[in-house]
Amino acid sequence: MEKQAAYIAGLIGKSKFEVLSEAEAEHLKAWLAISDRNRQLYEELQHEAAQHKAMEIMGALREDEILARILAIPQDAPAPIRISGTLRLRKWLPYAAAVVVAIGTAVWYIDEERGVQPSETTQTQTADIPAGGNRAVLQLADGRTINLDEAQTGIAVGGDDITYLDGTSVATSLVSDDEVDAEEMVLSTPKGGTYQIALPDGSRVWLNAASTLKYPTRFSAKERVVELVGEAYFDVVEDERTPFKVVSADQTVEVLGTEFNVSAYPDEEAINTTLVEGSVRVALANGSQSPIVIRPGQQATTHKSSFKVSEVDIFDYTAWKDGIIVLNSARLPDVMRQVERWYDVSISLPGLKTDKTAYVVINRNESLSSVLKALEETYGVKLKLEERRVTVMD
Amino acid sequence: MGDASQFTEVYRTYFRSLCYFSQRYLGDREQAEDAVAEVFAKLWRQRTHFHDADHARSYLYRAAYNTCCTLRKAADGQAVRESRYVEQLPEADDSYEHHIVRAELWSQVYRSIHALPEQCSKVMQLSYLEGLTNDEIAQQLGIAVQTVKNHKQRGLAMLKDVLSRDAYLLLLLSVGLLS
Repeated sequence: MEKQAAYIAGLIGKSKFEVLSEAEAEHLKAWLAISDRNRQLYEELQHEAAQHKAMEIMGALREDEILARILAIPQDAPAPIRISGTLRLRKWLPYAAAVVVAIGTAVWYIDEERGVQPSETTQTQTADIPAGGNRAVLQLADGRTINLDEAQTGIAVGGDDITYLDGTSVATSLVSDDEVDAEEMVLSTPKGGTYQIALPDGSRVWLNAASTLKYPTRFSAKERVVELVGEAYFDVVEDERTPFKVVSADQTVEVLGTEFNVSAYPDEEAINTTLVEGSVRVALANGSQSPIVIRPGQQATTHKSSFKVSEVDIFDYTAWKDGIIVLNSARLPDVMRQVERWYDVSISLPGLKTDKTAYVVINRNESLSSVLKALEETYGVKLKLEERRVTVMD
Repeated sequence: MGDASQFTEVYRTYFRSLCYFSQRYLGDREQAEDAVAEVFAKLWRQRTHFHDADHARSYLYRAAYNTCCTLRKAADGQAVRESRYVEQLPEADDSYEHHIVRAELWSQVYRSIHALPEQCSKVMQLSYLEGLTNDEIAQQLGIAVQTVKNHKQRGLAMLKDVLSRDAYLLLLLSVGLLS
């Protein structure tokens, strides 16, 4: 029954876009002839209002967030417990506490005697630090710098104007059209900042915290080159004649049109290039190894003058752009480098004894104290926050 | 990680359609998300494996249906009788099938349109979902009419491919089913 329903839905979908084959049209007709209810349903599905409502519902669903929550549940978790008679997603969080970090509005703990308790009432941290947000500085070709609006999510450059993504003006570039040389602009995010940019060719870039993107006011006719320090997600508009290049410290990524993530932080050991769609070529800066081409789902890890390719779960490496930090088999120092960048704190972990690894999921909208609290649970350590400095206690 | 990526694939294929389906029974989006989260969480904890796409689909819709029933019974027990109960839940009536048709249609349309390159996706939405003419789309997006046509051509070819994926597998069986 489910199979036929899905098949019929496919036919109705294709009829909407007028791509039904003759045989398929016959099938649809046959199904419509079966009952009045079938015909009524078909009518209903043709209404524009029904379509609008459906697309609105589809768009509002929290697909990524719920996926992250489920993946954070240990696979050998015991059968779920019941909370006030109804089954809710929250009930898994006590078991998930060993691996999940601060996702949702509260972190829940289980108390043998009293059942499930919200933890937030027993706040021990003296001062809290809010989550990062939309923060970035734009440096124009003429040297002027602009602090970008935190209420906005991104900017678009192209022509003479720089605007926010909602169309309001940021600045008018002083570079005139007939000027031959394109000049360089720099978009940089501080720790705790993220911002989007639409480049002159329409390509979109999501810049993660503590990152810098250099790009020209106008791309040359031969190639589109940008420079990246830190992490960014690229959605590059296809243009076969003008390759798009992302230059980082030890490598260059060259693409024609595709989606990928590059993480090139100076304080991380390696540069990771993760491909979501299309294909990209990764070349070492010093040319000691010939360039490699990676496919969707693959990741190139560049370590100074060599690289390797591995299959990865793309979600883990691109979820940050949707507000979730995911770390697979992460040790506490690995997690803390992320925390450092997003909450703009310094971290000092001398005397850290645990070598434990965990699958970690952090909601980037949570405040620092709830993240630290969950990390304490996860790694079995005591963490202290004092004046933007996190230390480990014995 | 092989397990997680397989799970993620099934999840991404059915999450939206199951939520839409569940919302028809529960009348509330967040409750529907909870119900579907529950179905998938169970799948994940038990490392359920499916023989094929048909097995997965049948299992998931039936599991979602059962979860919706449980949630509604629990709510009834608390004397929450509100108008948000969209429909009754008789066993295996044709509305079950019709709910799946709705859910599959809208999720397929949504997913296939959103899988297109950005500009192409915009053109397809304005054209087929909003019903605008090529001229109107060209004006709204500030592009040439010919570009709109190109995007539509490309978009249709890609959509046809996406929407056909399931259908091809079923073609052989469908004659028997429909006659």
